Amino acid sequence: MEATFALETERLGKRYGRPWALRACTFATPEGRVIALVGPNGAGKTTLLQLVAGLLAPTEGTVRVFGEAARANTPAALARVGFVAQDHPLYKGFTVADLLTMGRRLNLPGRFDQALAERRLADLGIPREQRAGKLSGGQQAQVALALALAKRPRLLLLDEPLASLDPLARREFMQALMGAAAEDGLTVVLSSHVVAELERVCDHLVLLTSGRVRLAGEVDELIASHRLLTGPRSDPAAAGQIPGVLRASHGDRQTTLLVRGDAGPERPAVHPNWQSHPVTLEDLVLAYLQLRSEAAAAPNPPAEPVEVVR
Amino acid sequence: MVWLTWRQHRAEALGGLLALAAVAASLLALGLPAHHAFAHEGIAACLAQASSGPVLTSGSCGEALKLFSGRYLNSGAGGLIPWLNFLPAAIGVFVGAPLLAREFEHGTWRLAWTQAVPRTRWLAVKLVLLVAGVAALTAVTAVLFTWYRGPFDQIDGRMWASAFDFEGLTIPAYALFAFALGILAGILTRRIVVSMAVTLGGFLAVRLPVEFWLRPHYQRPVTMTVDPLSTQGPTRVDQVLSTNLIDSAGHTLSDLQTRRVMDAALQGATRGDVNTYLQAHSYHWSYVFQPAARFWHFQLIEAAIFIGLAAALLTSAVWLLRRRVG
Repeated sequence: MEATFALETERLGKRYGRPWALRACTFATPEGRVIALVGPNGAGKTTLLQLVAGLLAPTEGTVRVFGEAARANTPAALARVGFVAQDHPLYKGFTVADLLTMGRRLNLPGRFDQALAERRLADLGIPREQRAGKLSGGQQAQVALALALAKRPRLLLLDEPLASLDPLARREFMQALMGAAAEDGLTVVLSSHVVAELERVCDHLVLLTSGRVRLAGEVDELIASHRLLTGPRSDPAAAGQIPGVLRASHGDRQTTLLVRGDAGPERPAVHPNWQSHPVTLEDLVLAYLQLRSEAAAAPNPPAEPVEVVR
Repeated sequence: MVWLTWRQHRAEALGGLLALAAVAASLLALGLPAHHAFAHEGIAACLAQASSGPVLTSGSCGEALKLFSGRYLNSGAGGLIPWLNFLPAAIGVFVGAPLLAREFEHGTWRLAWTQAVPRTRWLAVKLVLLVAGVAALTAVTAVLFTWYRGPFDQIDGRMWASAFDFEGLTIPAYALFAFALGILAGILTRRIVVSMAVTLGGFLAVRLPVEFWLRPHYQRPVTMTVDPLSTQGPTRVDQVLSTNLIDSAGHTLSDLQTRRVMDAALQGATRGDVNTYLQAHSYHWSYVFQPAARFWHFQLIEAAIFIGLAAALLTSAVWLLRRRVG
């Protein structure tokens, strides 16, 4: 199969000095999706995004963007990718107009859509002659987004875009982003340590913990392939024996099991009273995150499960 | 890129021009009266009359020269000149060091290098424009200083540090070195203030040893032993490093011995002519000096050292930026 993925990594690794920030990272995401890159702080999300943007060179492995190696040394490669870095950095002494001029002059001639960016910012009521440092956090984020969108990239990367914004600014930012993404058929990668922020907008998930991909796939398929089973409290040792169990929690009266659906949706119940429920994305992410921390705490960590659904 | 470079560095350009204006104003204010006095108060005539010989102490000409130097070179506003030493360091600290350190400290490198200009080109354009600016600014400073020093160069030459460090190629070479050091410090430390401190320290750590330890060895000084009544020997524009008396047995006299001989000469000499006495007693003068004619040779060596270092530092910075960012 010769499919072109928007983003494809193969055994990608990046090391800063001795510790690996990212290791053996292999996944692929189709074009035109909104991809949530989720993981706790320090999981390697920023490293991964900077590798994709060409800001960093990988220590090992490869990153491909639309089938071509992510290298920052050609204008054409840089032009394909838009990047809104964490805390949306801008030159604080530049006016909004200066920043747009910079965008026009630092991008391929005729490609940078300055008029679009100006219209976008005018609609948001952001004055052209204001210095970036004097804008509110939400406005700065909008300017950074407008600059990245005006490049008309095919892939837009946003590193924790919502982290520093208040709830209203978050909603406005996501509106602006999703509007633009829908118009242009853009592939978007958003990173966050809070999956709830992205649950409504993303249709693809990449879960990263401790520099490794734990789960990657279409959100719909991931949800369809997992079930939540609840039943009367049972022996933890016995529950742990059931194949496909990712996580078991035992309350006073009932036990909840998160199981992989490929073990059979109508699984043989331990007890006839067991009920099966669909999972939410948050359940799933939490289960895989917890799995990771338990594995890390155990003296002999079990083989690390990596669930990849394409 | 040219636009961006100008937009980001226009404040520094303005600061540089203001500094240049201040230097120019000071040098004109000091230099115009000195040139006038040199031409109209008989200084030039004195020098023409006593065209050779290392020392010009006696007679009215000696007095006039002493007065002239004291008034225009060594005192008052003339004391400002050594501050020019800080110009190259300031360029390194305020223009070179922040160039990359600021991008890292403020996180804007991620904005700058995700446009469609590859970062090596981004840096190359900035470096070319800023190096040209620094070179132009310091070259003009050197020209102004050379004009200012004109009369004094005819009195004691331009091999001494007080002239050598500012005339010719040295100021531009020092400034380019400081600038390049700032660039590399910025990429290595990624912090504005730290890179500034490293740049200043590093600049002094190279600049001072070169002046005091290396420069005297660019070329072996000339040693010349002459008869006391001979007109040979270094002229006043040569850099005389030592002057010793040699006795008839060829031994160099110590300071104490020299003083005794000179006392005896002053007392015993006919009409106070010391050299006649010295000749009568078979003494010779031995001079060790750097001839003034070596000025450009020395300048080229010194400039080559600093410009070579600057080129190496800038090459490393570009290489680091390509390879190891992150």
